[in-house]
Amino acid sequence: MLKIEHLSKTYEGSDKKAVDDLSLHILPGEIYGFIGHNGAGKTTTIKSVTGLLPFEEGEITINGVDLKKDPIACKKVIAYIPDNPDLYAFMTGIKYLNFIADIFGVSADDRQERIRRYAGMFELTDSLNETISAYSHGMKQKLAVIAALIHDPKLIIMDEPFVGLDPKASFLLKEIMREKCKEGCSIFFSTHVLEVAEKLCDKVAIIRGGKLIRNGTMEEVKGDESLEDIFLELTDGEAATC
Amino acid sequence: MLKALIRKQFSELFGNYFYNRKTGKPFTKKQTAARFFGFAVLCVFLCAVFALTAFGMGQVIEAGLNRLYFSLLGILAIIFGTFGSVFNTYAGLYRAKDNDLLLSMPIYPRQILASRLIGVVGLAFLYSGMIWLPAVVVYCILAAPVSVAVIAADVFLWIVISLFVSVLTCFLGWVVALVASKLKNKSFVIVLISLVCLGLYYVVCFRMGDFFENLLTNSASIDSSLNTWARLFVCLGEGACGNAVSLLIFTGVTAALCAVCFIIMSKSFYHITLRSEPAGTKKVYKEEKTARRDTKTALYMRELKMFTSSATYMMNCGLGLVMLLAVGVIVLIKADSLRTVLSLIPDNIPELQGIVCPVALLAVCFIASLNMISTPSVSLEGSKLWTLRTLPVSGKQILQSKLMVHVSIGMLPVCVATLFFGIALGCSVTETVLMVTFAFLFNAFTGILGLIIGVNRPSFNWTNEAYPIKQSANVLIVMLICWVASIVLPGLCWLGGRVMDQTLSLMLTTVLLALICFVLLRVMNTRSADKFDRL
Repeated sequence: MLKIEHLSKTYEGSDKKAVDDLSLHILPGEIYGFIGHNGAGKTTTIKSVTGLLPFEEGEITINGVDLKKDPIACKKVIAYIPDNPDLYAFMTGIKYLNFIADIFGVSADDRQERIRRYAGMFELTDSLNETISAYSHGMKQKLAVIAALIHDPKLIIMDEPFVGLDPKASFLLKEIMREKCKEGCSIFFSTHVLEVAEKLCDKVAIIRGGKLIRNGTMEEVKGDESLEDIFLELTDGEAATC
Repeated sequence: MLKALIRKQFSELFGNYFYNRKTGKPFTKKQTAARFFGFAVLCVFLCAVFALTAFGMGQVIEAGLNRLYFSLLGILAIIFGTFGSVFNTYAGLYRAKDNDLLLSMPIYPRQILASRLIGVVGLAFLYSGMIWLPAVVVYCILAAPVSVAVIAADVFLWIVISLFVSVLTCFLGWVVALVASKLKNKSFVIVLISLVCLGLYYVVCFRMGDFFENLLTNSASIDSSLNTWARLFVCLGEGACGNAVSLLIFTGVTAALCAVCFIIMSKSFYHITLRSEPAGTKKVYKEEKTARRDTKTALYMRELKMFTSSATYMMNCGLGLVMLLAVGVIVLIKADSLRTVLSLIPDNIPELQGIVCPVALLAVCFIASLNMISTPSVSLEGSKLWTLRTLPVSGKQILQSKLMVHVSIGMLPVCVATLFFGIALGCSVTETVLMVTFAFLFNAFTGILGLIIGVNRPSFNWTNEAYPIKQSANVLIVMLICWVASIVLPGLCWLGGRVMDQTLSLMLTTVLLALICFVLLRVMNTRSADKFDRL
């Protein structure tokens, strides 16, 4: 579903690579966790995959389509949830969802059913008529999640999705992630909550200083130890230099 | 403690002079000095304008009605000071973003309030001084010799007037906050109120001559009416002339008003600050089936909503359209007078023949250049750009939706105003149709140019939407280019009319503008769209 081959990205005015020769393959139905220190290159990778950041080297293929060659076709099958969703404050929640549904060409029946279902789950139904400017951070996060699910994507990319969500919403999101994976949807997300990654992910990738230092199934990466121990052990060098 | 709070308040007020709000970096000493110099020049300019007004009222002094002179200019200073600082007061007192932070610290609420009020008084001092000080200077010139005691009283009154203005702005700021919390279509109401105020301003400016004439012929009766209906302002006038009792009365009343204002506000400060974002009535969502829109319509509606939901955006970038309609209607009303003027053009001056259409186009296009809807629209995406960039829509589609909003909003006023010009100036049907087509294309030209420059020089790191709308260089660049075009193109039309038929010249100029629009549209759809995709 998502194939990242030798991805490298250097920001303007910097001689250091933010992401350096990173390769990852995510299969349909997989939940792939992406962990690393602050500034390790997680968000850069995620933004490159979603088409938000141009990259110089490497190749990203989504659902068999080259992101550089046909970004629109790639974006049609993905959904992105940023860590701090800044949504259109001038729209009401329902107008925002309808806008996203219109862009993805979701039929009236499908969108109605999905809005009813997901807004109900996240207890946001009553607030859908309010402007987003009146929403709390958590409500915006929930709305971004609903907007991401409204077009039934094949690949969901999330940057720190649990930040700002209340425990119930976090639980629901995890349930939805599992459910979507059973339907064949792939999920690629970054997180600092290692317990969540350990319990939720089929595979995990650890990034340090822009380079992928370990990836594979959870068992392959952590063996008999906890993910936290492995993560600290692998990233200790960078922590010390920080 | 209070000192630290006051320092914070003033650093907020004058932050623009020390730090670049866009980059957060401090200015060099030279840059700061240049900014303060610019501000000082602006103040001097305004003072000079009001000094001319004061000179215009000089005959009142010559008539011996000195108190009327000061009463009227005092009222003017109070009005100017109040309207100049009311929105800052509203923002500083009722919408301050650091209220929660300050209230969580060991600071007495009255200290927070006092520091904020000092900022309010400071602004009132500045604004009212721009009228009051020139008034005093002009008085000293016209009524010389003036005693030191009178000058001292006048300077003292400047402070008292500032306090009076502060009380009024606190009250009006509270009214604005109350109205803002109750309104449904805030942006439209704010635009409407602003337009009414602007209209009043122009009416006052146009009628200023009549006012002075009336003042000079009826100064005695105006003085008498003021004495009956606005005794407090007569006290202000008398105090400024050196009457100690009147000075004390005006100062006493102002001090009492200040005390009442401070007591009320300090008692309700918690209530005011913690209710800064009123909850209002919650509109519960009721499920309803929404028809599916195509991508083009969805993007257009999003863009339109972005424009109509911001009073700042509408006022600053769409004002030209309101002015166009107003000018069109005025031209239509004054059609007979205009035709009389045109009939006076002598036939033996070839340069003046066929000048009607180019001049009409120049007027329409010059005002239409103020329609800047598309220019800041790219930068206005700001931190929300990620949404568009992750959706399956191309930069070309997004730019086209922005252009469509610009063209569709501007189309009606531009075409109607040009039609009115054509009718009022007695142009032929063919000429009028060509003029309307030209104006329509010019509106599209401003939109396309605005987008090309907007994409080329975007600025997404703003904290206040006023930055890309009002302070960005893009708007100025586009406006200047459009102004040049609004002179050059009708100029070409006029020059062409001297060597060929006027209608043919108009047609060729319209074709030329259509070609320019076509080329620019190609650039927007290709280069600019590519650049937008890489932003």
